[in-house]
Amino acid sequence: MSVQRKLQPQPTIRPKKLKHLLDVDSMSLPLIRDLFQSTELMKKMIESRLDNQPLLKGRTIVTIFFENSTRTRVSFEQAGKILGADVINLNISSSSVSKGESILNTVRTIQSMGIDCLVIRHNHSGVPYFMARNLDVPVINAGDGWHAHPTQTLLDVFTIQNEVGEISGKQILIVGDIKHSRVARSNISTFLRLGAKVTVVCPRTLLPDSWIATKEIFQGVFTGLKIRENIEEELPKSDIVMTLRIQNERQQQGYLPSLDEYSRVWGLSHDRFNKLSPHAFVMHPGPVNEGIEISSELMRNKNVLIEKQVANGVAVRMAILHKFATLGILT
Amino acid sequence: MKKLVLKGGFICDPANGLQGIGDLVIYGQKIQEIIHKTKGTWSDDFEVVDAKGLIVMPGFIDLHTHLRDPGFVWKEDIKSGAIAASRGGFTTICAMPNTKPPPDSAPLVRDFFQRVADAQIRIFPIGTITKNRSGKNLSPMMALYESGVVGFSDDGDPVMDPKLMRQALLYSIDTGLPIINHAEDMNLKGPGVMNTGAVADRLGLNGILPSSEYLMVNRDIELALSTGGKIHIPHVSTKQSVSYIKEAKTNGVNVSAEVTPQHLTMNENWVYGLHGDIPEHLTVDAYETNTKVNPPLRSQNDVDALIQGLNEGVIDIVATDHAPHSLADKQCSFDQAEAGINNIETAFCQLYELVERKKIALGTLVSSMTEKPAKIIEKNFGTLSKNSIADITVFDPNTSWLVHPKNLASKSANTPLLGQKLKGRIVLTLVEGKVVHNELF
Repeated sequence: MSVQRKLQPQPTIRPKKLKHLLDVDSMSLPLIRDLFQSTELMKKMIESRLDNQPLLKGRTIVTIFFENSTRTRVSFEQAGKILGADVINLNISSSSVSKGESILNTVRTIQSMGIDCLVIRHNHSGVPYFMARNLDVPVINAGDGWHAHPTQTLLDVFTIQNEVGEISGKQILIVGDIKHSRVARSNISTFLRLGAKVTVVCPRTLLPDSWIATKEIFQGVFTGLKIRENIEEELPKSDIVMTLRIQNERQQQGYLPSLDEYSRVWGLSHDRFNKLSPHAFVMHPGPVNEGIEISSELMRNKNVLIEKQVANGVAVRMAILHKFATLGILT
Repeated sequence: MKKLVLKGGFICDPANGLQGIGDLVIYGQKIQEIIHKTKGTWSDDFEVVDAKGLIVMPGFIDLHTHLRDPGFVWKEDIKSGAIAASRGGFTTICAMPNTKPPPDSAPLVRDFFQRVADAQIRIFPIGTITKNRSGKNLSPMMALYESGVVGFSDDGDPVMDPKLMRQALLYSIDTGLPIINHAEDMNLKGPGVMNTGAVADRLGLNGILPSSEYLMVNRDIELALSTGGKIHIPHVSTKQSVSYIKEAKTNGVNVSAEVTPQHLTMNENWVYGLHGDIPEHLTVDAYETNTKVNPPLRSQNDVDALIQGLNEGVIDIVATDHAPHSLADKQCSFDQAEAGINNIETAFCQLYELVERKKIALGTLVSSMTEKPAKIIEKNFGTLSKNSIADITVFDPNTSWLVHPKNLASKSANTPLLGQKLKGRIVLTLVEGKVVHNELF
């Protein structure tokens, strides 16, 4: 118990073996590379369905989504099924879990039914950590509150490596509701760690509180991040523009006067797209509010990688389930 | 009449400016005398207890304890709370009124006194500011005062309406009792769960702005100044609040203030679950719900300002805000968890570390837990004066103990110190000369 401990300067030591996939920060670079190699193999397996060895035959994977999601849930389910696993999906609205039936007890009950891996999404940050602390099975974070979405980050990095090139040195612009976005936090810290240059542009009300009065972050996991105001200035410099979803509720909550104004000032219109270099790419984790974050006509543009992200998502999740559901010990 | 001598201990009695080795002599319920240095032998009618190497102090007085009784007795009740308090060295505690029902009428206060009559330490009630703590209508303050409350608070909730706060201050002046307003603007706070800042942003948790506290502290100070009312500011947590209080005292406002053990010894990094360390990457210990508290653990700058405030007397007292919660209340997501830290048994041990690290003088600390709280509630306790009531506590700075549910008398164990070996232990507590906690003889 100490009031004045400082961050000890020490080399980054990430565990060689990982039981849970809670965030990308805890994954070492060799681990990530290994996972991507496995993902390449999984991509081939998706194409040659009937010839596949069922690598997860006899394994049970349970996905528990306390927050609604079609895309991620189906992506995990598909990933598990292609590998021959039994996949059980639970959608539990977090409001219907009463105090008497805590989320921990719900999940413990399921654990006792003999499962190999738990995939969990919750609208409260930190729930997968809480689960990992109290359960025996490997836990995979499918998105926790505003905090992290590691499988999305991994598939985004994989997509960049495959479609754009080596991520190190790339100038990546992220536009959207950073404050409430787990994809933003996960992606920013990981892109920076892999050597990319990252800039964010968004309304000040949608910045995390500690970023409001600064142009650059100098400490912690977001070190190197630049915060800018003018999207027009940043577009020509960017190799990749990643736009994030703006939720309708932000207007009611007073963060934005209207989605209309957001779209006009920060949306990726056709005009703004033309300001990008011809070699630049556009990404979005989905689901997209067409017309708000990206104009509809851009959705089928060859430099917009949204569908590739989705396709890679299944392959990445196959690689992840294969590693973690088999007692999750990555070497 | 029983005669007891605590022999050769280091006596600390700031009320009388006393610090040094001596014998403390107790006759029955009262302190007979203090013999400086130490007398060689005592006659057989004295029970002599060797206090060498121990610190002998007046029993601590806590102005801010949540006993959860009536209404939430699975978390704590009068009996377990009293035992826990005695093990923390507290001989007098003041029970906050966020019970069910809250003591907002004279019959309920009378009932309270009946229910605490058998408790092994002294317990006073704090009455509510508003009826049912709803923040709408004043409670019958004169009746509550006549029934024996020692202050007024809606603690847990603020009085959001400034006009009502002003009326409460004006109306209560005749009682001489302080208004203890939980200063937190609920609109600014919003759905926040921990201090605003880089830690909250990294964890993806909603932040609680420091201004949600200090703007209301400032408001209450100004209202007290203009009405002549008496305020006591609970659980101060921000540097700016300390500044406002300092200025207010210079201007002669009738204001006192308290700080909790956690806000003096823990900062927001404790939410990482690693006792204040900042991890390179989060571990499964992150989002430690036992660190969730209202007001939240703040930045190191705030902690330093609070320590300085206590040293300068800007903050008058330490008060625990002991807030027991059951396992079910804390074994959930950080957002879902109830706010509150269980600390009455660990409080002095935590704070003594600040003394050892020379952050605060022993005399200042003891004064803030004995004579000063007694003055605020205008009770004649908190000293080792001759003929005063023998409320005494003895601390062994050289032993240590594991913070573990089996070592806590409280019904709950929601402390971030779980699993830690805490240095120092309260080994003896006397209330009115009667031994209520004893690990010494």
